[in-house]
Amino acid sequence: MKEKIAIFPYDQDVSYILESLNTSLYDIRHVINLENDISKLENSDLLCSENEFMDNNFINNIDSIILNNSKKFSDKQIFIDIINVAISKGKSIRLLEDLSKEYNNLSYDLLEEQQAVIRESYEIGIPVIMVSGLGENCEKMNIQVDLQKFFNNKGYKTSWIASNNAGSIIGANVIPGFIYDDEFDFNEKVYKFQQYAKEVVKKGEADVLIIGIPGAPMIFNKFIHNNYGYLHYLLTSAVTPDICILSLYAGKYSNEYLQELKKTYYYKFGMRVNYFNICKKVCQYSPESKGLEFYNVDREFLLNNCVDYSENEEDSFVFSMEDARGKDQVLHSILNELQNNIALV
Amino acid sequence: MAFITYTTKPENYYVYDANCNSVLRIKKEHYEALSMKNGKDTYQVTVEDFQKKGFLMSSGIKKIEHPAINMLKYQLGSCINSITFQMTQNCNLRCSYCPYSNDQIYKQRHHNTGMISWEIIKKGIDFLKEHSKDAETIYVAFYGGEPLLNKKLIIDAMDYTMLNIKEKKISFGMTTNATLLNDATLSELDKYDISIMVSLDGGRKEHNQNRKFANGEGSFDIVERNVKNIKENYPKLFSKLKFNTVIAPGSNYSSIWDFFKDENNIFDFNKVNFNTLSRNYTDEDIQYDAAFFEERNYETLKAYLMLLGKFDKQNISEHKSDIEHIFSFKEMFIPRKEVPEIAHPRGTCIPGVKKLFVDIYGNFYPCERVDENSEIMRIGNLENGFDIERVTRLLSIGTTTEKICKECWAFNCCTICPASADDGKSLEYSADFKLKKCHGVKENALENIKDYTMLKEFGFEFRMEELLK
Repeated sequence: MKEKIAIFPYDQDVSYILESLNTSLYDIRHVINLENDISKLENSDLLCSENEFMDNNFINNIDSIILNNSKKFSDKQIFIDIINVAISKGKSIRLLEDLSKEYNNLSYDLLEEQQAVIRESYEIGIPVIMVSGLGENCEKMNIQVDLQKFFNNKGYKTSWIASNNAGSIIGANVIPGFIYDDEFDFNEKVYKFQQYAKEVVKKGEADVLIIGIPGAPMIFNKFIHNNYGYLHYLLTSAVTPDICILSLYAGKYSNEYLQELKKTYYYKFGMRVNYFNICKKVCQYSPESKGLEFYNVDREFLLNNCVDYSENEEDSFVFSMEDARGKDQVLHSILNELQNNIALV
Repeated sequence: MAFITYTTKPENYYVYDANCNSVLRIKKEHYEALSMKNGKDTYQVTVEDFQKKGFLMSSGIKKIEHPAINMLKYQLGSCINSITFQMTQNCNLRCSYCPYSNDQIYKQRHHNTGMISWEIIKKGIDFLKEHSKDAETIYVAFYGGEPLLNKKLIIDAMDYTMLNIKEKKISFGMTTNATLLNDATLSELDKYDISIMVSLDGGRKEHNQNRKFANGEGSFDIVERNVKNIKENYPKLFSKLKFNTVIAPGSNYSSIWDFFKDENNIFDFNKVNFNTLSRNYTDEDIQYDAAFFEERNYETLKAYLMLLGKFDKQNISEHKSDIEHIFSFKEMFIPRKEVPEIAHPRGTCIPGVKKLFVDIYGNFYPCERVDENSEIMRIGNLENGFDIERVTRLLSIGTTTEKICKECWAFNCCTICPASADDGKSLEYSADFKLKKCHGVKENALENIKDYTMLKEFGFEFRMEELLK
């Protein structure tokens, strides 16, 4: 029986996932917004304000509260009231991250079936589409969700290893915990991930595998190391994609710069970037905080200033997921390429 | 040509190349050639030799434009993380160097009984809330005159902020002369996460020299009494207490320094910011005597010796500002292949985003240090929001002297901000007025580059984590 949950609080990352709701383990009853005025938020029957949730005793409709402990919500005081209500009503309280641990446990279960780590490289055997980004907050999840929806609608079965734990809400597999575990060295992690990916594909009987790579491919500057692109290197060592979409922050990129990026990805990760998505997020470095700051531009700015289809070259196609036409073109192009692949036996 | 030659120790010769933003160690003959000591032909040949290796290239800047210009409306739309309210234009002190006390040094508005209204405060906080969607933290500050003359609205403002802005970490700040920090006020303020900056110019003699009540009496005793009370009875507030010390010309710098370093006093030296008088918005030639610079530079020297391990690091916090300064300067040195075609001199923050100052009428300014009478500095108001055109104009200060800036070696270390280029009278920036500031800016920049180079010569690696061990 599915677990009935409410998610608190709502944010933009959760919103995109809600649009593609395809619950497997969870029955999402409510998504609770902090502010009382939800009229400007994207339309969803699941949304309610915190006051509404409390006043109408929606707590009685659920089994668990899932707390969205994203970095955005730095003031932990906001969780106090909801936690108290959940406790008083005997409801379980979990973090969004915890949902992923269930999948991690699953991944360990899968691997325990193996007698030993078999040190032979695995081939996945089906097309793999990787979604990478220049860093966090560059809307990689949006791309992954749309890829999954698209291929499903075309009648293909997809398996998906999401770059963000939030994907677990809608049935995605997540990056397994052993990737972050010091117990295993790099080689072992590569082999284990290959096995994991293979098992995910097998369980889902998938025709195509989508993998989102968390984090960034390289350092941003002397202070923002991004783990030196470790996860990118690890995951691409394990699985070589057939298609790669690289999501970039909002801005105008010269062809020269894009070619440099392609070269970097090719020589560092052994993969070719086929498509560049320009997302709505701007990323800038703050010398005061020695950290990154993000803000959004609107669709109009993005399409008028950052994406110019006339400048696209054959081997580096720039588009934006905000542009339905461009998005559609890319998705169909990917489908076409994979359909016309010649299978190697 | 965008470079400058210099020496540190004898026989150590350098050139700073602004195009690739790097310091190059060079031979004596190259130094002499590039410094034009051996004539134009030798200079030209030497430059060409360096250019073959990719250095000392002609400036590649085609256009001066601040990189934030294109997306300004989005940053102003969602990245505002702080607001400073001018609670009143009145003050119970009449400090001799205050811009609003008299027309001796600065010619700005005078103290008057104007107070901010609750309506302006509320609109300001609502404005902040609407424009801070992409900010992770919120900071609301209170300024004056003396903000505690309008204490009730400070408390109401903090309450309103806490009630209406959720999901973000909120903190508050206030700059005060501390004469009104009585028990009743302190017990109210103690409920909030507020950082109080107290204006204190040193011991009794130094402080009372300039910081007096309207009747001419010094304010030191009451400040000391109130700070002592905070220390004894309001530990949370005391932990966040900071001090701002203005060193006016003629002050005894070493006695001010010694006062704060005295372990027997209640004022924590580590929390003191020392400032000299601003040279903006004044025609006065503000001069500090040689003794001040000797004392000041001596402290800087001690800081550097500490960094180099020549002194015990035990008192390193006494030299915090010098250390932070040189570390922050060092961060400017990010080598690059070439300067971008579109660039802007460093030194300009994004008005409104870095700081938003709101006067008692609800007008916006980029910070509290600008002249409120200056038309250039008014960047909008609460009724109409930001005036993007005016913000853009402030941000584009480099275009005023574009031709000169493009070729200037100090392009990457320029510290001219909009306030320093504003004469307070004109409706537009004046190129001549701005250029008058260049000499001082370049002098400072060169001193900083020399200090940085000298520390590198002695093997200092600028690793903050090593320093904190």
